[in-house]
Amino acid sequence: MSNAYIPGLTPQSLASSMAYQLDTTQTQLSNLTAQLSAGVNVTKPSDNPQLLVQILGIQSQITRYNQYQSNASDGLGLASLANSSMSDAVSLLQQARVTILQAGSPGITSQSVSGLVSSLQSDFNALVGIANTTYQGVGIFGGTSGVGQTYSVGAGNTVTYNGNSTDPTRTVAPGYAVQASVTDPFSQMFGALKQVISDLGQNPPNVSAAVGTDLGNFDSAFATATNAAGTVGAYFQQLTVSQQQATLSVQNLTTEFGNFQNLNMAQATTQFQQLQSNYQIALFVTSKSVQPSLAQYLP
Amino acid sequence: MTGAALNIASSGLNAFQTGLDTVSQNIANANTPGYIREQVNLNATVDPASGVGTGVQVSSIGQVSNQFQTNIELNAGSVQASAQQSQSVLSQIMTVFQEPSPTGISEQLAGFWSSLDQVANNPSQLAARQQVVANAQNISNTLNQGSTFLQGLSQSTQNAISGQVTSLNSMLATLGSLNGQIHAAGTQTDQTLIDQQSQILSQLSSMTGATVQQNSDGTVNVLLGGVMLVQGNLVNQVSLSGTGVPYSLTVSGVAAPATPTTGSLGAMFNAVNSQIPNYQQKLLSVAQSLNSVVNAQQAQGSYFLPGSTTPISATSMPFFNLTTVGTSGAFSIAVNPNIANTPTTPTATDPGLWGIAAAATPAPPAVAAPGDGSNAQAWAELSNLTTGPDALWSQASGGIGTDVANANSSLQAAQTNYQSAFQAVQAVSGVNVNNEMVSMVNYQQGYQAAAKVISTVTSNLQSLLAAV
Repeated sequence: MSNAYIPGLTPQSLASSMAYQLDTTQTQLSNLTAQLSAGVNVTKPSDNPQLLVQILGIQSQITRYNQYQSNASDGLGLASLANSSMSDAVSLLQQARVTILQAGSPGITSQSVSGLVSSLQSDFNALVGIANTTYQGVGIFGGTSGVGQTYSVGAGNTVTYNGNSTDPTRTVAPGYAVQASVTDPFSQMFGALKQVISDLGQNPPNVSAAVGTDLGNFDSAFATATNAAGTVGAYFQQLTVSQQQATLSVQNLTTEFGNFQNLNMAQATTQFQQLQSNYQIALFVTSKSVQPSLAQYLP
Repeated sequence: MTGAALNIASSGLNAFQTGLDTVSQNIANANTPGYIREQVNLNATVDPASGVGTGVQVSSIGQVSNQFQTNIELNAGSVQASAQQSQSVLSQIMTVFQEPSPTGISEQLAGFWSSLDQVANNPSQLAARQQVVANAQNISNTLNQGSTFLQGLSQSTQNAISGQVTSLNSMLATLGSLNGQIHAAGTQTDQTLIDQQSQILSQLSSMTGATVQQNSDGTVNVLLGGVMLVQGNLVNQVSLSGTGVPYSLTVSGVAAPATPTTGSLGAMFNAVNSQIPNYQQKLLSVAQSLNSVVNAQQAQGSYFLPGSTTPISATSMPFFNLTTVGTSGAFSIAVNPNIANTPTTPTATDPGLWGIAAAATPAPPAVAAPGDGSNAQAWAELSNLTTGPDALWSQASGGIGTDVANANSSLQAAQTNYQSAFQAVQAVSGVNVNNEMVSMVNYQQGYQAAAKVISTVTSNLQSLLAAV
């Protein structure tokens, strides 16, 4: 009688082999379930270590570029306010220039000049209001000083600038910052207006000085303010472009992130169904394979 | 002649009965781990004087095994146990590096840098500064938790090693005792002793990858790293030594360590001596990098107390405080309490949130003013450092991912190898129920036939007596 044994047919080896196969299928199912439930390719570092490093890099970049976008947007808020303030100021100063020129009209009376002085003083006050415009509680023309009131007015229309000469900036791209506003665009103008008001306010009004030297000074200050308005406009444009670029970068990065991380649902679902069928078949086969033996058929 | 036939048939009955007993024993132990199939060895008996056959006898009941395949299985078992343990430890370590995640360190760092831009955009806003500190505290907590977790993992692995060393000594003692009994019993050795020996050797090998030498008398020698642990009934106990990395296993009376490199115990030693310290070190590198780059940037700036326009240099006001604990790489990082707190009256040494140096250094030509956020801007741009904490964290996360993926592959390969080795051993030493059933039918039929012979001889005898 031969006791020849065929490999792999003992209950222990069958059970071990079946359990191993079932474990393997179950592990695959578990991993796929984790991916499907999260809807992503990589749910933990071991899923795809190389891809993980790329995903982390892109994820950080998306956050960073979102912040650049936010910085540009914040800068735009400031630049936009500075832009409109400068426009208002330029309009106001154009109006003040006409008023000064009126003082030089032939046959103008002292009373009329007095009215013009009142008008100029009103323009002066309005300009102080514009010059002290704030954004989030900070004067927009005060540079990086952080002061709330950029210009303070003392006796006799004496104006003091409280800010500094550093333009506020916003970081809009790696290592790249864009200015959002200009500093002290009005000190010269306040000086010129003060002098005009003072000269016209004399008794008798010093009209010749007002329409002569003072107007020259005013025009020079006006040019400074106009230049500042142009500069602010350019900053506004730069920030707008930067914001668009940051938005575009976020979009591109998000697309790239999606390409890496978004799960191909159709493929994964099909694979899941396939694995589930395999698993069920394996369970069925195991239930049939492990148990029967010749013992069941012997009388 | 009648008497001889009866005796011969009787010997057959006895032999077949023993065969059935053996089948019964095999079937009963078909699922007993470590059980080695028994086989009845029969031989025909002959009267030496006459040369006439006198029946059959059971010469022995042997165990069917193949030492070569058994050794392969033991080795594969130790490799599998090692791979399983290693994969388990690395998977535990990986929980510290929970990436990619919207709440992982990577995103926390990105959020931290972004919050500095908010401070740069409006340095006078306390809310933005509060956000910086909150983000920094989140990162600190996560890093500290990771460090504490790794410390705990190392400690629990050391505890598990201690437990396994106790079990190992107990197994070695049992093996020594079994060796003594097997040697004393000689050829009359009870098979259950061999089964016990086989079972313990399997556990021992799976635990340590120890080498087994079979002796001709059925006893075994066990060696670990070339050092004899069991020889006959002599047993050298092992003990855990070392109060820090590296931990080792020493055999009593032997100076050189005999630390296992495979098996579950080998993997545990590898975990406490190499894998866990390695990732503890990587975590520390991230914390150190964060600490150094942030503090360096902070030191380049200045801060202002509320309402003041006098810049205070931040060289003595670090943002992070990092302390290392012992030599294991464990650490604790925290935001400087003088910045994280909210003093009623901020001072130069206890400025609270105002201590975040958003402004540039007071040195010319830079302008340091309360509304200056240029240092905070530079700080936010640290996110782009290619060797900064973000990069180190990303590398460490990729590293553990690779290690776990490799461990998964190794485990799968080890499992496949073990399955193969196990199947080969089972093919020789395992109990195949069908074959046992066939043997049973054979023995049954043999038994019935021998009984029939006795019945026939008896009938013949009665016929003869009736004729007389």
